[in-house]
Formats: sequence, C-alpha cells, structure tokens
Amino acid sequence: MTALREGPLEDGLSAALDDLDARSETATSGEPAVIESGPSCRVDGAGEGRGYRILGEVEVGLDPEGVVVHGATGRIYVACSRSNSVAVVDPDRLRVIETIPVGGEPIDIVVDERTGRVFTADARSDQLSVIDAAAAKVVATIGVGSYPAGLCVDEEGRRLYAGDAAGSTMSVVDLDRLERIGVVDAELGAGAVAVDPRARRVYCVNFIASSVSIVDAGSLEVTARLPLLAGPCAIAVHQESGDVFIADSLASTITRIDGRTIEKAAEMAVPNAPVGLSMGSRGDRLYVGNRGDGTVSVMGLDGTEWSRIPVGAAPGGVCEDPLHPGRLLVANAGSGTITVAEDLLDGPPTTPVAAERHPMVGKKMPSVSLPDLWTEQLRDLGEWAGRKYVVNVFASW
Amino acid sequence: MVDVWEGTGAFAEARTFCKLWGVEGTVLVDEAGELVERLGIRGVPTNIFVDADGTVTAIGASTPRELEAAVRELLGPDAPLEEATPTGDWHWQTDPDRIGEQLSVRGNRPTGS
Repeated sequence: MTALREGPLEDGLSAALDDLDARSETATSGEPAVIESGPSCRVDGAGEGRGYRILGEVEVGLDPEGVVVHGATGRIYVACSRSNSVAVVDPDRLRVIETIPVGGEPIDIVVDERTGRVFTADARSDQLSVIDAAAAKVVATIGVGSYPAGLCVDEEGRRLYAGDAAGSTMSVVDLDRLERIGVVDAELGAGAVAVDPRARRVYCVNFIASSVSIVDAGSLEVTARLPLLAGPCAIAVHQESGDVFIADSLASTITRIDGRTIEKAAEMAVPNAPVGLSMGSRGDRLYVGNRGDGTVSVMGLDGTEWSRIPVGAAPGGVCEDPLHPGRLLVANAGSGTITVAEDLLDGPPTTPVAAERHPMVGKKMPSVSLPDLWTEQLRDLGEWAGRKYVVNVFASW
Repeated sequence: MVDVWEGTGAFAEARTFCKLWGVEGTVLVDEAGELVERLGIRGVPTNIFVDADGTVTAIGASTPRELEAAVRELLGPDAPLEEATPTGDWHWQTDPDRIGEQLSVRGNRPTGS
C-alpha cells in the first residue's frame, strides 16, 4: 500500500544528507531524495526548524520485525519474519542487495561488531542463525529454548542473550564459541533482553507474564523480579544512569525503572501499541515504534513526546544508525518495508507533540465491500447502517 | 473485525488466528488494504467507532480502558458495560507449543528491537 521511493540516490545517501534541502528543490523527476519532511508545526508549533525528515522507504520482505545496522559496512540488516529471511539493504542506494535465508520466523536481529557476525532469533525453529556478513550466508545455527524472540549482545562480556518466549527461559550464548553456555529461568513470554554492563546486570522482559526478570551477569541467577503493565515487549538501558525503559505494548506505556533502586520510577504514555524501543545515542531521548499508530515517537527520558514521525504501516523494531547519529531505521511489519528517517531535533522542542484528532472523525464511514473470512461472500459495511458499531482492525502477526 | 496487511495467504492466516484465539463474530478480510487506505489507518490494532448515522466518532482506543471509554461515549453513560481491567483477557493457551503458535500470530511479538 505504500508508494515506495526505492532506487538510487544520485550521490549516495550520505551526500544527499549533507545537501538535502538543495537537492530536494532541484531533484529530477523520479530521483527524489526526500519523500516527506516533517513540518515544524508538528513539533514546536512556532515554525523553528524541522522535527524530522523521511529519507526513504524500502520494500524488504514479509513482516519485517527487527532491524540493525552493521557498523563496519553501514549495511542495514532486516529480519523478515514471514519471509524466513534477512534482507540486506545498501544504505546509499536504499536497495535490497542480498536476501539471506535463515530459520523459521526470524524476529529479532543483532550484530556482534567485534566479529562482524549477525544473529537472528528464529522463533519457529527454536534456534539462532549466525550470519557471516562478508559471505552473506548462515555459517552456523545455535539451538536455544522454545520460541526465541529477543536478542542482546554483550560485546565486552562476549555473550549473547536470547529470550525464549514459550520456554520461559533466557539462553546465554558464548559469542566466540557460538555455543549455548547457560539457561536462566525467566517467565512466560521471555523476549526482549538488555544488558547494563556497568552493573553487570541483565534484564529479560516477559511478555505474557507482564514482568521483568533481573539477572546477575556473573552468577546467572535471578536476583529480582518486577511486575509490569500488559504486554512488555521491548527494552532499553541508559548506559550512564543505568535506568531501564520498557515498552508495554498492550498498555501503550513506557515504564521507567530506576537503575539504582530497581524500582519503578514512572509510567509514560505513548500513542498506541509500542513494540519497538531504542535509546538515542545522545542519551537524552528514546525512539519508540508505535505499531498501532504508524509512527515513531521521539521521546524525552521524562516521557515528553518531542516529535512523532510518520513511518510505514504497523512499525515495530527501530534502531539508530551508529554511523549517522539521528538517522533511524524502522521495520514496518504491515507494509513490508523499512523507513529511513532522520531525527533533526537538538533537544526538547518548545512545544511537545499535541494530541491530534484523526481526520476521519466526524466524517461518514466509507462504504466498502469486503469478503467474509468464513464464507468468502462479499459483505458491505453499509449493512450495519442504522446501528452503533465498532470495527476492530487487526493483523494475524 | 477486519483483517489487514497479511502479505500472503490472508484467509489462511486470519482463520488460524481466529481459531487459536477463539475469535467469534463477523470477520472481514481487507486483502488489498482498501478500507484502511480510505480511513487513513496506519497501524494495528485500531478500533473505529461508528454512530447510528454512519459517522465515525473515534479512531484508535486500543487499550482496555481507552476501549471502555470510547464504547461508553458511543453507547451513552448508562450502557451496561463491564469495567475494563488493566491487563485485559488475552486467552493464552496453556500448552507451550500452542503458546508458541499464539505468539507467532498474536499481533505483538515479544521482540527485542
């Protein structure tokens, strides 16, 4: 459903970024450098500057969930869970240059920069795939617990952690030997994992149990557990303060946990169904992928929403390009794309994002005929005319 | 309910989803994304509230409390509704293999990204 602007950028994306405004005025037909720019009124209401810029959207495969940038090459790796593959995107041309088959339903994806290896959590195969980035192929698989869904690399500690959702465990993998060396009892729905390297602490978020298990990285013992709001599914740790941020997808909040006391410090509202979360490299903001809203929120650590970037349909994983601070990669599960955007804010805007009424509110429901799931007979929404009703729009993934 | 953005095998995927989660009632399949495009829907889950004269009164409201508030507004303050719970009722299976199936079709995976 998305009009893609896939294709070569005249001088490469990096050059385009340096001279974006000039190029957008002079770009020849079919070679736009920018497909959408964020008007300042979204952010500060006073017209100063821009809150964001959309640099492109690339079709990658079915149901992309996880996205990561390979620091050594700048290439973008996308876990396409319903394609059972990883798409490799050239960051300059914004084009898929490789498609690497992996196991069933890869959800999360991470890079070990020291070796250059890329890892996927193949949920339906109960394994991790190990990709040699240079060879662009899977060179090993590592068996883990049932339905691995979240990954985290501890580069210094040479460990990879995987949350095994259906197995209620967290697997610990030696990054160099590529072997599972430990299993930690977590809880049902164990998925997203994050490491606080200073405190030698590992956090494993349990989606179904609505909790977070806190693990000592040395002993691999669970030292604490905190209850969370419904559907926690993504986590980020502030590398200086040790504060922990968790996206509660079914409650539409971000929970902040004080890294010193390990107690809940705040619950911060976000637009709708936050599924992706990452800490900005400047340490002053979060990036939140709002699956129910088709946006990424740029959020201050106090919960103030600085800007809201429209991306593709039903976004999930979001990461910042380590080579280009402020550049965001967003996996859009609904549209089968990644969005490349740029966060232009230097700090909090003068006016945070205000709630907006959906443009369809107050208008007539369109008359659309769609097939019934069970009979496949066409039915028109008009048949509910004269009654009050609610339409729930959903996807099976 | 309207199923969208399946990419491939929409009917099979949606049927599996509905059976696994015990979804009852009318389900339509928007394979081409026609409805969501006309309504400007950009994410899931999204609820659309429609009044008796066919006017859209609200869009969004995905958490139990938001849903309850929007339904109350649609039906009026005296509508006999059960109070929403913060956690909702997600009908998880008890067999680990079935939980895996639910996770793979549940709409919000426990992704780490």
